[in-house]
Amino acid sequence: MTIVRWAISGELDLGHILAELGPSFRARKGPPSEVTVHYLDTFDWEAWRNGGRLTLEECPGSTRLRWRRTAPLPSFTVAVARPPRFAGELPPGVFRRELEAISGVRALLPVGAARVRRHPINVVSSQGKVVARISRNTMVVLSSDGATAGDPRDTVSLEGLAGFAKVEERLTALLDACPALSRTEPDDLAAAAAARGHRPGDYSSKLAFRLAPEAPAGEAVRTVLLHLLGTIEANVPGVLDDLDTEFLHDLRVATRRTRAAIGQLKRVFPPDELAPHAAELSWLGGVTGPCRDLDVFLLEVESYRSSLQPADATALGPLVALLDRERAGAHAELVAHLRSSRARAALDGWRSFLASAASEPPPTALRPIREVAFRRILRAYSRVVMAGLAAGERPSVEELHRLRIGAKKLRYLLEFFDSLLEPGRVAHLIAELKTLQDILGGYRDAFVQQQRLAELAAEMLRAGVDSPAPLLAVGRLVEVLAHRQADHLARYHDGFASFASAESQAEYNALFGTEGGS
Amino acid sequence: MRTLAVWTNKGGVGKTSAAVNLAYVAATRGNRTLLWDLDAQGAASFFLRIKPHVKGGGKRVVRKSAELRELVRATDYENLDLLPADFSYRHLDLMLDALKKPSKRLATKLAGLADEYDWVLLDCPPSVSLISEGIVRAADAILVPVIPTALSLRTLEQVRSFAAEVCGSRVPVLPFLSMVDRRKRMHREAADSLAGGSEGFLQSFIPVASMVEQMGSYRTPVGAHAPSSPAAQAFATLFAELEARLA
Repeated sequence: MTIVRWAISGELDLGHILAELGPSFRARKGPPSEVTVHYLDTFDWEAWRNGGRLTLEECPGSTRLRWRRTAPLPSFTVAVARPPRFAGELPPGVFRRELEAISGVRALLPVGAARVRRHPINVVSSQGKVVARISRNTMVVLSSDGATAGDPRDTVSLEGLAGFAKVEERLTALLDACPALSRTEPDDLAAAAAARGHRPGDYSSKLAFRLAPEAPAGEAVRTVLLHLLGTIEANVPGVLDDLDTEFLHDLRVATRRTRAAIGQLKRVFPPDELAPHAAELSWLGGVTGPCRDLDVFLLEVESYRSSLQPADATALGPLVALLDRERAGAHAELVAHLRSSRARAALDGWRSFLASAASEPPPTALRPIREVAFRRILRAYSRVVMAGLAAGERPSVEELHRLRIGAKKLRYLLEFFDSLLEPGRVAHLIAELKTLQDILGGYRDAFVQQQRLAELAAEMLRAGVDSPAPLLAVGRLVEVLAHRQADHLARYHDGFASFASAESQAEYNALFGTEGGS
Repeated sequence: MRTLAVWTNKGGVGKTSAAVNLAYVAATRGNRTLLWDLDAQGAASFFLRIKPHVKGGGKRVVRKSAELRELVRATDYENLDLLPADFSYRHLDLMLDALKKPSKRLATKLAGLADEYDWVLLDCPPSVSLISEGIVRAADAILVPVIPTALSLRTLEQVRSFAAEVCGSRVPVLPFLSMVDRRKRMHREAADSLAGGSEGFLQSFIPVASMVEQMGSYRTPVGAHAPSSPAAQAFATLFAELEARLA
């Protein structure tokens, strides 16, 4: 299905134009309609990034979700009873599967809106078959409060239908020849987003900045930290409104990266000035933990539950209900913390600190960032290797936890400073660390969740669950997690061996050693 | 892409109305759907207001070099396209017989559309022939409308035998009760006995309904002109059951 559009710049008589098609066709005017078009996307613009426009079109009696993508990707349309918050709410089918593949656990949020008044004309054959759809449209962008924003745009659109190419060609030629019409390809999404102070792609959790290798380290690190602060602040509203679990995840990752950067590169700041901010960021990281832990646990349980037979899935109901209640409580506490004056002061104070250069910067702050960063990376790598070797063949839970933290710090350093090397030079190192982290994280989660399940089972008994099925279901889940923990441990040994290999050590030395960068 | 052949060798059992209405339901659920009208009578094409004509006729359709997508027509319904019938399809068996690997030709042609459609429904002529063999080979399942009478049940056994002969047990045969008139005792008893899933029947059934009979007057699927009718809802339920079975 192709749609061609023309901007209207003068007097237009579509009836006269369509009459030129001849007596084999007639124009059947449809009733005018007013459609409110809501542009939807995930907070990180995944639909847009994947080359599509996701719209919810509401008119009296009908609500449709459309996903228009550029060929050869297929486009989809489905009637919905109410706006879906998540792709999983769509009817089962390819539309839902493909949208879930790009949106994951992210909510589909309104990013802009427009009101379109349509005057449709169907071009109909002698059989009464619609062979082309024309519409005269007046579109006006809406602001967040529904008020009109900007001038109305008048267009004519032609939708060709498969198998009726000749009619489409004739109509296109007739419309092209009309002096009042000129072809146009307006970016309605960009216009609608702009009315809300946004532009497509303006948020991403990825680190995307380029540092000059010879820039003073203090300046470069402030650039990194200001970027991370922007990410923290951008995610707070989504956490407060509980739109989806990724807002809290991204906020925590940005906080963790900030704390890692401060810890690894603290010598670029005057220590007395840095300390209070580091303490507040530590507090912020701490208060976001309980809710995130429950989010991860719930996602894990739901994932497990969806693979069960219905009867067994039902048996996990009491556990899920208990987790939901705990999560609601944890979220309420988190909201109270984030709305507190302490949180506001922490973030505002941190921004002020970063925005103003120190009056007496420490010597490290004045050295080139390349030198400072490379030294830190090499040291962080050595620490992880030594910690892994010391942990040996039978690492304890705590040793693996510390190893995971060390690997995370190293990975963050690589991500902060990969622009100091040729593009893509450290991508495989970051990927290797991510794999190691996922293994260690999975191991840790499985361990912690088993313990938590034992506590939850006791709570369920206290709450009066007296039939065996729910408790047996929890027991089976514990078994699954124990197997998972063992699998992760087996994969860890292979992953660490590769990470700490002689080849890997040589590569890190070559990249980040004294003569590094080659 | 899932390919569902709506086929039986008995006429007048609601085969075409099932194919059209199930294709419509699939489309309204956001699936890119293609209905291929393989019956020279062209009833499915008529219901969807598309002229039952293919330039070049059946010979072009079965030709190796011909692209089926060039023959596709968009219907008036979003997500629903039609490969129209052609009167020359009454000789499709002869055209196929002149080719190499005739019984695999349909499957090969449809494979070229695998990226473009989520569902393909085949409205098949009520006969047992080379074209039927091709349909069985191309399908992921064969949907068989059965009126609750002894003769229809006998026809079902013939369909099952034929499918087994062509493809062993690879292609499931999914019978469902069609045009069920619960005012008739025979229908009532058969429906009560079979619609619960026994003898391999799908649980859903389609009642006899004036709304379905009026498709020829409206020239629209039942879901388009009577969306709240029991018949429209029965087709929606049947599609949901098929979707779950073929998941």
